Amino acid sequence: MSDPANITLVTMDGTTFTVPSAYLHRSKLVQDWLRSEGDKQAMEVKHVTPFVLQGVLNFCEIHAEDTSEPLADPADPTKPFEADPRDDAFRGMPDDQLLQFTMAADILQIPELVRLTAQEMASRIDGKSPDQIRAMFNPDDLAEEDVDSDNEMGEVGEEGAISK
Amino acid sequence: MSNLRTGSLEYLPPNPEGDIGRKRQRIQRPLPFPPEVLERIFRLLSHYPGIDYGIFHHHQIHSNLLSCSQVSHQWRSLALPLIWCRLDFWRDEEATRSETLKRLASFLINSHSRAVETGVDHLAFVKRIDLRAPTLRALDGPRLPAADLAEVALGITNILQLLSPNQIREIEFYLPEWYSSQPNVFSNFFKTVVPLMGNLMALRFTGLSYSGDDGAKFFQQLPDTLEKISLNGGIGGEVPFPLDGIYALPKLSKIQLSRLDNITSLQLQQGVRNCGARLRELTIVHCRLLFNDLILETIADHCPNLTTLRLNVEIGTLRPTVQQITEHNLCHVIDSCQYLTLLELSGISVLTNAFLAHCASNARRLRYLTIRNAFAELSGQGVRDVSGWQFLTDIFITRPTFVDARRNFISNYDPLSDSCQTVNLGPFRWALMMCYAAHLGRGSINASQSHALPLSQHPSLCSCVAASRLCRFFLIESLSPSSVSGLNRSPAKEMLIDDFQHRKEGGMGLTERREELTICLVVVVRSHALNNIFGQYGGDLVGVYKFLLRAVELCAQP
Repeated sequence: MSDPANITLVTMDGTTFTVPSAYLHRSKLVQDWLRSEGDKQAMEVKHVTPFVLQGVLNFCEIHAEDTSEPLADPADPTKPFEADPRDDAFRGMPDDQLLQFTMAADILQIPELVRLTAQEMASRIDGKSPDQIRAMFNPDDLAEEDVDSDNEMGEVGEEGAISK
Repeated sequence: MSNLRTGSLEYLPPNPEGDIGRKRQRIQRPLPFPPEVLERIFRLLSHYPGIDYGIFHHHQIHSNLLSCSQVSHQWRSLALPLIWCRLDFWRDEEATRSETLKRLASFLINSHSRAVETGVDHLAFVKRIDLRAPTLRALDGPRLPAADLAEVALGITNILQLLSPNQIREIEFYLPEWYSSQPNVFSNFFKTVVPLMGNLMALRFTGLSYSGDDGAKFFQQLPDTLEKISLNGGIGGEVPFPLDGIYALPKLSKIQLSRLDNITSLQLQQGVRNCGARLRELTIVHCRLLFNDLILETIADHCPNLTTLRLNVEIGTLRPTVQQITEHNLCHVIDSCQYLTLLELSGISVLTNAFLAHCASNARRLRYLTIRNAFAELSGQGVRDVSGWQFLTDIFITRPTFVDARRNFISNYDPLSDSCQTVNLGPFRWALMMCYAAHLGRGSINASQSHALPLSQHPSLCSCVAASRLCRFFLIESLSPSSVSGLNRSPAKEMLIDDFQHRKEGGMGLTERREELTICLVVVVRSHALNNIFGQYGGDLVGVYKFLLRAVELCAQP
């Protein structure tokens, strides 16, 4: 890597982003890469689109100089936390985009973003029916899961009878 | 995500191949959820709306997790273990009906026998059992007749017998006062549970003083795997058997002792010494003989890895607790336990600003500081050096809810006053809460109001700004230094302006002047050196409070 102060990330379609390495100090994936392969020109980030990576990097930039202790990886969001207003952009995001950011946070191993997106996902699922959840996050799985799902629903009906 | 902008990122447009790739990506099916991500989301869901459910409740209210279990194969396989991990024989009347218990037993047997065929064995998911008093009587209703009680107890025992040896990780017992009068009915609980707990990690036992011989035998069989124990004596407070053996458990690192009046200081000192460096959490709640300097000295000398310390004395109770604690030894604990992240002191009468000052400058890992029922001596005045609180995120200091500044009891005590803890002020809330306490301590509010009120009800704040805007106002300061120093290009700054603009349009916006003021606050905090604020705005917490009040008042001017 010619410039140790910056890092270049390449998305799956070849789009490149060059950012200060300090932005990504909370990404375990990037830190591991810098340690083991930091002499290479660029780090490939597979399965992440340019749009999503750009959003992730903006998140990293906003939080680059936060002084809070890094979260453990993987983040353990067992309890809801108080979201930072600087991250409000994630609240208004369409469901499919939020899903992609959740995946990207996991791929890049950024515990703070994992925690944030997981909490936003949970808040959107809250109070929804199975059909609504399918429509929000998993529409392409419907055809594949139809038969199995029907069987499962019958079984769950039995479970539901426990408390009836 | 239209308002997330490229900002300072160096962005190279994609090549044609990349464009094609991107289009392909757009029409691709989304990747399946990584299981670990989905499980994280489910674990969060188990807290909506804040109750840790067991299986009865999940099914009764058709919980979020139950909905998730019906979305797809993958979701189901991850949600079911969370739904079925906890058998809670206590939640409501439903769980006390023998018909329900029989149906549950039948379901579990059926699931187990079809496990190879279906791939799901609900029995195997059970990791925790709750046996609490309401099991044994209808919640808010009369106690079950003895015959029904025996039948319910038998139903529960039958279900427990279906579980595999060593299967259970957590157990919660909650024995009723009349337990000792029905020993024959309940003895089987203990006999059935003991073989299940070879891998037990956490035990919560309330009502120890009623447990009699059953309890004594049970405690002799605690496994070496136990890491966390919470013991509550109940109303009686006198445990009829020794508990010294628990401290010898080799993995025990979290201890909570509540209302155990016959545990002596010497016994706990010995126990703390035995646990030594492995002790991570210690909570003592209203144990008559355990609030003294000897305990604190032992903690300071032998528990360097302690992360959580809670000392809670209940004020106004009919069982007064003798306090022989000095600030000196509390400071000694702060100095010695360098990993202390949570400190909760409730009803400790010796606390003054000297302790607060020492804590502020020396508790370097502290994240959460709670001081409940603080007396007037603790005002925050003179606390100037807060260099130790670099990681502090939460601080709550509240007045006694029913004791005024002169330690007189207030007859018309308002239980709602505790709601001050729900005030959400973001990173600045600690300063506000503390200074609010200081404000009260100066006596500007009369004695009948000297208990803590919700901040939004503070006369100065309430008159000048809506509570919701106040929250927003103080949260803004959490912008990072980089976003402030590069005001003209920072996406965060642009988001901030966008947000203000949006609020203007909605009638809630801040004027240009308010924006400037807000930025001023940002600049103050961006140094990440709280001492600067203290030096600039009055020298101590009371001064910061005044500054913030003034800022809010300026904000509210037309």
